[in-house]
Amino acid sequence: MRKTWRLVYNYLLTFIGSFISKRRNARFAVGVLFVLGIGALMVFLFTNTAIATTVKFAQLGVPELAMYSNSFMAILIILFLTVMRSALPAKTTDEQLLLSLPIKKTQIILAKSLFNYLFDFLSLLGILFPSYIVYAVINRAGIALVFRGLLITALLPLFSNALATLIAMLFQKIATSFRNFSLVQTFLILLLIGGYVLASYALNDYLVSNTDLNAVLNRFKPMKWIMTFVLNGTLLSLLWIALISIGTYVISISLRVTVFGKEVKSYRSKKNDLNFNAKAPLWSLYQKEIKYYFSVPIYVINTIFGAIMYVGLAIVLLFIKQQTIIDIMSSMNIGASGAELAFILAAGCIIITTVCTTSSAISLEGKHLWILKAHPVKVRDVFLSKILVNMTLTTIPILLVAPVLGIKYGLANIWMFVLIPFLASLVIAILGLYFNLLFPKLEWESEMQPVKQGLSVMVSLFFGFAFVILPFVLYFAFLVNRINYLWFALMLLGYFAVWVAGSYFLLLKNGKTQFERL
Amino acid sequence: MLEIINFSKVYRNGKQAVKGLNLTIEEGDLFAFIGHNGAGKTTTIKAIVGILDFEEGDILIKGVSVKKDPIFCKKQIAYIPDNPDLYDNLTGIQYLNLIADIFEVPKMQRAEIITKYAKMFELTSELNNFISSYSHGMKQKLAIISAMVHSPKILILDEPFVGLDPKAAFSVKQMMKEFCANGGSIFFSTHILEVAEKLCNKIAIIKNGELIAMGNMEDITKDASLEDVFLELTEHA
Repeated sequence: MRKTWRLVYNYLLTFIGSFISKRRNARFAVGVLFVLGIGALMVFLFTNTAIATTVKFAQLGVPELAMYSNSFMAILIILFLTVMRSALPAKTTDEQLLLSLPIKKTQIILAKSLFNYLFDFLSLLGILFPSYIVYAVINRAGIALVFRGLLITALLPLFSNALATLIAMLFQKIATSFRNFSLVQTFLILLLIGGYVLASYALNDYLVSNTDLNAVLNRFKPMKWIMTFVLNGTLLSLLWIALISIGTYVISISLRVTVFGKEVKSYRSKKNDLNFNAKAPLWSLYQKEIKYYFSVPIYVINTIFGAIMYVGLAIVLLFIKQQTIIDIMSSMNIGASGAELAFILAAGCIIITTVCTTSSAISLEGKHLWILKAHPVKVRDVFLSKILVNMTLTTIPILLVAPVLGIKYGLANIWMFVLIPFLASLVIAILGLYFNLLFPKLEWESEMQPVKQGLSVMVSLFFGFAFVILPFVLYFAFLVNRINYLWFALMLLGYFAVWVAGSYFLLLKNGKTQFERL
Repeated sequence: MLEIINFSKVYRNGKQAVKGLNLTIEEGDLFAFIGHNGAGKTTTIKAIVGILDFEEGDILIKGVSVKKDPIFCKKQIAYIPDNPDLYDNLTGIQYLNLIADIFEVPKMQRAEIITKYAKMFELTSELNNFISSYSHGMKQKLAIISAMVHSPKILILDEPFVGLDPKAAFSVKQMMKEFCANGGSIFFSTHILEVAEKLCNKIAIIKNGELIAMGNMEDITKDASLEDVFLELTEHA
């Protein structure tokens, strides 16, 4: 076990080293503070929610419902962690080095797995564990409950890690039988996420619609085990949770050990003829970008849901009566004619601007950046190819949804359902790229690092939200009863158009210089 | 053809990688650039091909500064890194077509060049497979084919023989000789001094970022071997 812990320590050192070895400037310090701030904010929000829920149920005289809510959250979190880990099949660069050293395969795999576990455990410690502390404090349940909660927090990530490993191995097995195996893998993971979303809704629906708590708990055992162990310290419940968590973990480690170091089967083409078709440089770069995008599951997962939700929004709006939206707005004292269209546009713009592939597009070039830099590619073409990928993902749903909304809310309004979300999306695509040029993360081992942990991604997300919501807030606060919604739509069009022009100018001017410095 | 004038590079961490380097590579030159690890070879090469920006000095290709017209300069050259990281999610032929598209090479011309070099490096049957399935040597061969696809005037190679099998290394040497015999120029870094000695007509030796010897191979080596000269110069300079 000593060697395993030494390896875990080594991975920790590597992780910390990746932060401090290269950048010591003020911008980096701001970035670290920003990330720490977001983490603290998340813990604060989860703790606050836990306090509100626990106080509410304590006042109602059913404090165990708070624990029920916490257990439900725990189940959802482990499912979520499972899905995210499945989307990130372990990639190793130290495989050959470790295999050449006198370390057992089990020790290597265990070290890698424990390192991943550490992150999941810390996440749960911030998200789930405070709810147990809050419960114990408010209900004066004693320190033992907190320790039992801590034990659950420690056991659950073992299960999510194990299940994710098993799913990832299965997906890899299926995907490698296909030519475009990475695309197949992405598709399978999207199916898994779809399944997660449906399962969460179904679970939520079941738990909410059943008022008999005991009946629910008897039907859905994992929640019962978590609740009865944390509340009463029932050892049999702990045994079940431990058996499932540790048991699946041991199975996953054993399976990983059997495949570790073995050659991964890859599809071999039987085609002998070569295609030499020539294309324009920009088109060729765009095709490369699109192929890359769909071959990185975590990239797709992190960016495509806005596009899917945009279509979902149109479906929901199709079935909701226009009067219902007007009634909702009237309840907020907004009664101006056409204001519901501004409301729909706001929702649409917020959703569509969450699709931002460009905020990590430069970082993802990583070790391949030399190809773009050493060849006679116009920097503008590099930028456009990356922006075009983003716009492909957003323009298709925008064009699909606009006629639907046009039929429902007036064909004469179609232009605003096309142009306004399109321009909003274009601004975010351009600015995302610019932020990525300002905060690039070119050295990484897994695509997750630039896609999920990149500073530019977070900055783009927050900035995008602020810049989209601002004109709508101003409209509903000051203008809604003063100007016609058509005038507002035209002003909005102008607002986004100015942002497009300004940000594109900034990208070509400063962004180009930044790119050349990379 | 290629002129390096008073080129210096200081990295952001304050390390001076190259100091006041002056070099001229003429048409038909096969120019070896040798030095210890960390002497400044790769820094110089990366600055020539436009990967690394620099503030001091200039690099001219056919009389044009790489700072002023990088696209023109890049069109004249081809670069092969020591450890080519290529797009793993593309097939070999897709990668070659991408590079050919960037250089705007017509279909017939690219078909002819790719077929010729793929056959030379025995890579034809692999071109429809994904680069992720290639070995290091195969990636190196693919990078060499991609470098030749637009018929460049100057080849810039960083350790071109690393990872190549003996037959491929022989083919690369033949290709280099043929390239220079047809009026092209090659500037390459290597640690294999025997190859440099046999292959090149000119040589430059760099130590701690400064040029310590440069000239025709015979003038530098005289009656000694390049290895002896290199050790003598680098230990006493």
